[in-house]
Amino acid sequence: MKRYRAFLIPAAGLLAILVGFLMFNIRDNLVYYKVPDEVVGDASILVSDRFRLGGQVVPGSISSDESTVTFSVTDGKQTMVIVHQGAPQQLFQEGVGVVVEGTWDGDVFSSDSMIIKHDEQYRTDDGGVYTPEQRYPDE
Amino acid sequence: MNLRNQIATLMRYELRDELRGGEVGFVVLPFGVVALLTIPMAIGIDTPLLQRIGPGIYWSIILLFGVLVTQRHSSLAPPATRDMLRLAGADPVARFAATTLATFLLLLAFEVGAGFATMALYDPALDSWWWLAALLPLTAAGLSMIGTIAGNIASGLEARTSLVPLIVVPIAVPLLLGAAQATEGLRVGAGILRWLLLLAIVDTVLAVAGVLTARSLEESAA
Amino acid sequence: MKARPLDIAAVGTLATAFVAGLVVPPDAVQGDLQRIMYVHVPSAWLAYLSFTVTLVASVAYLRWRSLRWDRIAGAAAEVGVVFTGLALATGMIWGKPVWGVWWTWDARLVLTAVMFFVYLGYLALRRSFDDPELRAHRSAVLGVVAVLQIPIVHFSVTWWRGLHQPPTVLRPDNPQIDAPLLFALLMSVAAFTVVFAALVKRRSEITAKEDEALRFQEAGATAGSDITAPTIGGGSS
Repeated sequence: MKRYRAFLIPAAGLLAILVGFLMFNIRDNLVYYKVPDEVVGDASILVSDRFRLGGQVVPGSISSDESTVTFSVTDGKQTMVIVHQGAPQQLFQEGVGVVVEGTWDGDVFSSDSMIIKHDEQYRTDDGGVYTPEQRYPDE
Repeated sequence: MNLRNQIATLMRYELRDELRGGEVGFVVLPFGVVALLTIPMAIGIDTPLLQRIGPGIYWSIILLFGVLVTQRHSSLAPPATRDMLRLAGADPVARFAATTLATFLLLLAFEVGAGFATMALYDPALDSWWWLAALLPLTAAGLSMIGTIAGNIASGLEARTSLVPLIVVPIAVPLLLGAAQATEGLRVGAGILRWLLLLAIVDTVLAVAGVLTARSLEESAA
Repeated sequence: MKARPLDIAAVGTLATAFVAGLVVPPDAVQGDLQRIMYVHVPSAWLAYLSFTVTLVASVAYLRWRSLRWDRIAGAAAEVGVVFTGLALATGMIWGKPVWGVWWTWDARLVLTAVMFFVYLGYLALRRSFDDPELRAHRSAVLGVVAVLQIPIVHFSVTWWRGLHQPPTVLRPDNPQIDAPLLFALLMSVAAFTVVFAALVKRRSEITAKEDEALRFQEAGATAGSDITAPTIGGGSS
């Protein structure tokens, strides 16, 4: 490999610089879902923009009729009202984290897709109190 | 001949072969454009939707059909040519570099051609389009190197035409993500530096891997 | 087939882990659903482990050119593809009731799926060769190049910001999991690892036999062609 040392050493150096730059200098937003604080009051979000919204279900806010579920999610700063088309999932309950996908008209978020954001802790029944709100948001 | 002359000679040979055969220009590119044409037929003519998904579809077409560019006829030296080059003392690294460079130029042409087709058919909204001048070569370079390495690994095998795409596409996922996310970033005005750096890192890693494995693959030529 | 210590250990630890996984109390929120973790987590661990073994064995082959390393690389990849598939399948079965969807475009899920296909490509390549030396050489190169790409794939998909919970156990300050559950989980990880070792050992022995048979066949054909059938009456030419 001696012959290619003139190439390999600069290449390794370049790689180190690129990786270093990437690791320490980049703080771009890479948003898989937005949180209510980013959405409420942001005038640049159009009614036609579809995006994902994550937050914790506010206790006592859930009401449902035949085809929709209405509830509120919060990130601790702002609260948004969600109208979800379709039946909620098995683990949907007060206090869990959810990620919904849909559109926002300034007052109500219309969702047609819901994912329960699973909590990190596993506990047996007698192993302690299960309180997701203490740890949300966890990012 | 020194390494640079060897690379230049071999690359000219491959490009001349492509110019005569026209495999990329007359076969792969039309095939890619047909693919771009079929997608709106399959999902329906929802113009805002097509505008939104156009760039993503473009990049997946580049990845899937770019594999065909990397495996074009002239990039695969037949056994007789291989033996001749080996006897003439052609450096395996020079052969890797020459094939990669020729593929890179052809891929770039393919990207530009398919890019115009995407513009025409999907009408995507791109503000800072000049960033594409960095994005297209970075993606083409990575894909050409993966394709050349995979082509050498599978050379002489009967199953190569189906094998190489299966090998290349999963490994090329970072290229697709980097290119597509950067384009998406351009569309919504987010930062794309991270994705450009990712592409540059992939390219550098592949260049090192290509140089280090070239001799080993030559040794085991069937 | 003779049972050997490694096989006996594999069966023994697997049985223990099976019992442990059934006996420990269920999770408070997820209930019995959470028990799928005792298959899912060790399978995912084996997926990563086999990739590492394939990488190390491929490098070792390129360094020492011994077919033993190649057989280990191939066997690890073969076992790995099964467990990667199992991790994906159990993850989907668990995800449907908990997340409400079979599949979500989360970083770790995508990474596992990509790994699965990289394995499949690697194995498809190995199957295409007749000559063991050629197979060893080419697949070792692919093994190294492909596995080196995995960290890059990992980072590129991680930047999508996932829904998958961060690692539960690998956290020194405060293990997020109750002691009996943790015990069952560690037990099953240990059991799967022993099973992995036993399977890789068996598989590479089978490959060695196959290679030997192939060599014998070829040698036989060459040797046989030297012996011509006796001709009666002097023959014609």
